[in-house]
Amino acid sequence: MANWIFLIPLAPLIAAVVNFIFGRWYLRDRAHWLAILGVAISFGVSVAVVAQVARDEVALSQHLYTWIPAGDFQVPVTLTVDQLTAVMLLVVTGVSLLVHIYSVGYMHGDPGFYRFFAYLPLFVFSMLMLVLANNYLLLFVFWEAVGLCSYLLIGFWYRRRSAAQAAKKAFVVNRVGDFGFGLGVMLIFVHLGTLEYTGVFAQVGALPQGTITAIALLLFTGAIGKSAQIPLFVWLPDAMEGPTPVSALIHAATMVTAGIFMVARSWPIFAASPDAMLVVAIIGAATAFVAATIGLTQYDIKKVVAYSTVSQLGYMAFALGSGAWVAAIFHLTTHAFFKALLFLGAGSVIHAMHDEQDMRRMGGLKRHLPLTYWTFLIGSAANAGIFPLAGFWSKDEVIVGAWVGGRPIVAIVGLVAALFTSLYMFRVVFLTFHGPERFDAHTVHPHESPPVMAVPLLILSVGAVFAGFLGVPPERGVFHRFLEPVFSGHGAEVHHVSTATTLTFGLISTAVALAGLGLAYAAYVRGAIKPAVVAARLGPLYQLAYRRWYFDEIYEALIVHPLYRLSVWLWRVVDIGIIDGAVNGVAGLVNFTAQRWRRVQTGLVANYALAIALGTVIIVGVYLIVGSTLFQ
Amino acid sequence: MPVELVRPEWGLIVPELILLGTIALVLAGDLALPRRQHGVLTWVALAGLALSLLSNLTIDWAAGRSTFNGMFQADYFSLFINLVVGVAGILSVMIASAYVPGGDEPGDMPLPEYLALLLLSILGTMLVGAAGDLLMIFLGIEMGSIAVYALTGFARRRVTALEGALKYFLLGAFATAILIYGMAWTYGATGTTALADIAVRLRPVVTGSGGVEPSLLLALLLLAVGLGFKIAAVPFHMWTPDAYQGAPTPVSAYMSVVPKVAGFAAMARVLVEALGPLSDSWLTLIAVLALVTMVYGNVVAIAQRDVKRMLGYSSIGHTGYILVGLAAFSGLSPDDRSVGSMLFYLLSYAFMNIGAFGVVTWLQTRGLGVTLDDFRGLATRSPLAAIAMTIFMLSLMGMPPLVGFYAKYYVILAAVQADLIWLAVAVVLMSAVSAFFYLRVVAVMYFNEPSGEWKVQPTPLLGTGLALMALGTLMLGLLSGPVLDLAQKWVQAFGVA
Repeated sequence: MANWIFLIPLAPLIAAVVNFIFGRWYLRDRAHWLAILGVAISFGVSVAVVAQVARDEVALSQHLYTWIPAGDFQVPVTLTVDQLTAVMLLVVTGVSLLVHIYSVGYMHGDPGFYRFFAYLPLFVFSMLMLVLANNYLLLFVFWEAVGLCSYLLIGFWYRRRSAAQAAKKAFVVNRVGDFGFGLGVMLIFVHLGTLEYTGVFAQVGALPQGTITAIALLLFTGAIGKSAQIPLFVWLPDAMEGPTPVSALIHAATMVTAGIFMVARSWPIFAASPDAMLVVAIIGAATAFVAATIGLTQYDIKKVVAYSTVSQLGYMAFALGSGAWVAAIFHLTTHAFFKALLFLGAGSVIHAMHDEQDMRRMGGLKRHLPLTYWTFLIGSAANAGIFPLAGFWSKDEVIVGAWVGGRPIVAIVGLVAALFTSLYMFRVVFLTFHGPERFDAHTVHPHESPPVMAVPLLILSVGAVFAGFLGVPPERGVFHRFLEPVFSGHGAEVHHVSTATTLTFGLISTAVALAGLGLAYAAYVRGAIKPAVVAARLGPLYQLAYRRWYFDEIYEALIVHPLYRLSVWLWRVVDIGIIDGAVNGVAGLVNFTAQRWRRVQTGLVANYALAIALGTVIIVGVYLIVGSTLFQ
Repeated sequence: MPVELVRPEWGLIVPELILLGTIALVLAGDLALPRRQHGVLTWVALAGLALSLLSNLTIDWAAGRSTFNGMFQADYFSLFINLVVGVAGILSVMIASAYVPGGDEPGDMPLPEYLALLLLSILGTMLVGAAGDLLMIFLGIEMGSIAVYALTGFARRRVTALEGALKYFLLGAFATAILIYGMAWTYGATGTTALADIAVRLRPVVTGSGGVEPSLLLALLLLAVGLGFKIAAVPFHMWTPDAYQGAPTPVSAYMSVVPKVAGFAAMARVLVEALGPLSDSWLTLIAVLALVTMVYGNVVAIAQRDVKRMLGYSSIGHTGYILVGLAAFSGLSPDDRSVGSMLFYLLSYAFMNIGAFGVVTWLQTRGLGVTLDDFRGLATRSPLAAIAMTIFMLSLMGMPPLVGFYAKYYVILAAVQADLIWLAVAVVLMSAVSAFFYLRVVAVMYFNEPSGEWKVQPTPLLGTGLALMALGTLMLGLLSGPVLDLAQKWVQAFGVA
């Protein structure tokens, strides 16, 4: 199968290119066929390749060509599928396929239909190349490429000012992280002279501790941006301005997990630096907690799901920081199912409510949208960690991983955040689908989505229910045995988890999740607890969460505003005064010379011949005098 | 003494034979077909070129065999020249397809003769690439040049075309005289005209320190000057702007590439393969010529408002860059990237420069002129043509990831490896200068309002050609690695000798 790996990224690429070129004039509202076909081929080949990897337990790779051959600096375009990449391949192509199908219904009638189905396969191509790369430069190139696709898709409705601004914000914030990531890659090359994973991991242990930590932290900076960790998470909630299928695919299931994937891929570097690991764990735990508190207070249905994504990415990050590599990837996988499901479900609700996103104007939708309700409920329960759905197994394992990895405080923060997770998830369910109808029934007539949108919901909810069983029994499930070869060697520590610990944490997790469910039920169905009263009682704490911990305001005051002032000053004084003056001066000088020199071209053939003759005489003369034995 | 007959290995010259057959076919078609069916000959020419290109697959280039008593060599170097010239030929025919029979020039231009001359010139250039003897080089260059002289004046009722052709012809004859004089001196000094033998006989002569025998030096310099004319190096460039401006635009496109390839191929064959032992003497000359040429070409291009003339000067600038590759020669070793980077540059240059002239042709078939003003607002009239032109301009400027960037990058790399840092810096600085006139075209297309009359005209073959070149400019950049590997096999080709 190794010789067919190239088809995995190529099929969506062809679909994207054809849709770009012919979409506007010829394909128009048929553009989705090719896109779905491309992603389906990609999915099919991925399954076959992964099956072989699973059977033979060796990584496959296919060398396509050498992109930049320049002495010591060789950049091969080689696609490698090891077990980690295999998991990512299935997640990316599988979810992509479902989202593509769903989008046919969701984007129906949009004037940019063909454009959507050109961007989306382009994203899939970039994401697949990102996970298939065998070296850091290729990873970096496609890291930027998925960022670009994300930018294009967030700003898909570019006539809407808020969408354009959200796209810009996502791009700028990600630049900060990417800058650090780029520096990290350069640092690797400077110290090790190679960028290929195998070479880097084999030699990294020999570097001084400080250097390793620097490399690891710089790489993690990239992950902070891409995977929306504190303090760079602010772009992700705004990214919800994009079409909902985009949120499901890019901003929940795939692109945002690229940071987690990259850290897991670079695990020998991180494992060699305990300091860097601690930083990763702390940032992950803080992200999980802060985002969960914000999620409790928001009213926009998509924003709640978005903050939930940030929070879950925090879980994955602190699992990485605790050395629980497999647990992080496991949570990444289950999360892809239930979070894509939640976004698509939210999209279905928004679609039914004619683009209403505020939960205060919903309620009672259970009757109108039964299928959406049940699938959304499954997704919420999975996210909340209700036994025995997917989220329960993976989240529990993440928390246990932190505990046995020697980070008990992180594990406890994880448990507290889990309580909030369950609370905000069921708050959404109850506010949206239960209780009285708070919308104007005369103007809004909620209707169930068409089958093309319903089927992906059903398939994803099957995944949200059963994906967790891949990891059962904990620590020894199919998933773990499959991934184990990737995370061994290079001095890997293996923590053995006793059955007692597993059971204890399973029980605690279940209790916490049920407590959240109970609180939400009491507050939003029975009315035993008045949310408004609680909010007032908490006062500043509630405001802190509701205002998203003032991150945006702080950035505005500390960075954006001063930068803006500085740019204006640079523009008025430095640019116009100094640089433009210098540039115009040089250009003027060159132009002056050009005007002089063109006079040489007289147009007379005799002059031209004279130039040739003179040139010859001068050259021959100089050479005979300087270079020959004639005058020596 | 019995004369020993050598049976020629016909298999080695299959690409050339196919081209020869195509020429005969085109000429026969001229006689046999009625005038309005001459359009079919375009397809005959394209098929012949494609077949000739494909037939390269039948030859075992790695063996590096020669035939006709060493006159003709089939090695990796000649393969790459065949590739460049074949591709350039196909693209030139495609962009000429609408223009030549279009009737925009005063007087008519007979398509069959046009195609026959074009193919003849391509054949000549292929012979230069495969030459194993000074006489073959002379033969090939003249075969290529004389056909191009005729093509330059092909619009025979237009004064500027005749002027350009006459200047080109007179000065070309002058330069050829110098070239053949240099060959004579070489023969006089070494007693042979076979390239490999010249190298063998020179090697013992130059091992000692101190200067070189004056007659050898004279031979070397005259050869360099004669070939310098063919590639339009300063100060032997003066025919270029007049000829480019005067010739019908598709001819300008063609002669900005293929005769230049012939000149560079001859330079590599003569200087590196035959006069390689004298490299200490010619390296400085080539490096200085490279510097002067690139500075002059790029600076004067700024003052031009006629786009064809601007491209003429810009091609002088590119000659300078390509010479940098040659100047980086250090010896026949796999690490030496000099000739390899030169070959890669020539291939990429074929795509982007014929492309740029192609867009000018495209405008002309729609009733517009060739000045900057005619490019005004092209983006609103035809976004695709504007995008293609933007790609060509950015690539000529050296913008990644387009092929022009990689071409310059490999040349710079070669220069750095040969410790010619000053030359590498000059390439970068001149690329910055060139941004001025390349980007001006882009700016005019996008930021100005259209002016002048516009006539709708379907030109499918020309359009396809432009699309192919734009795509090639992009793809060749992304796939530069394998192509460069192929070019780099020149070491093997010259090493066998």
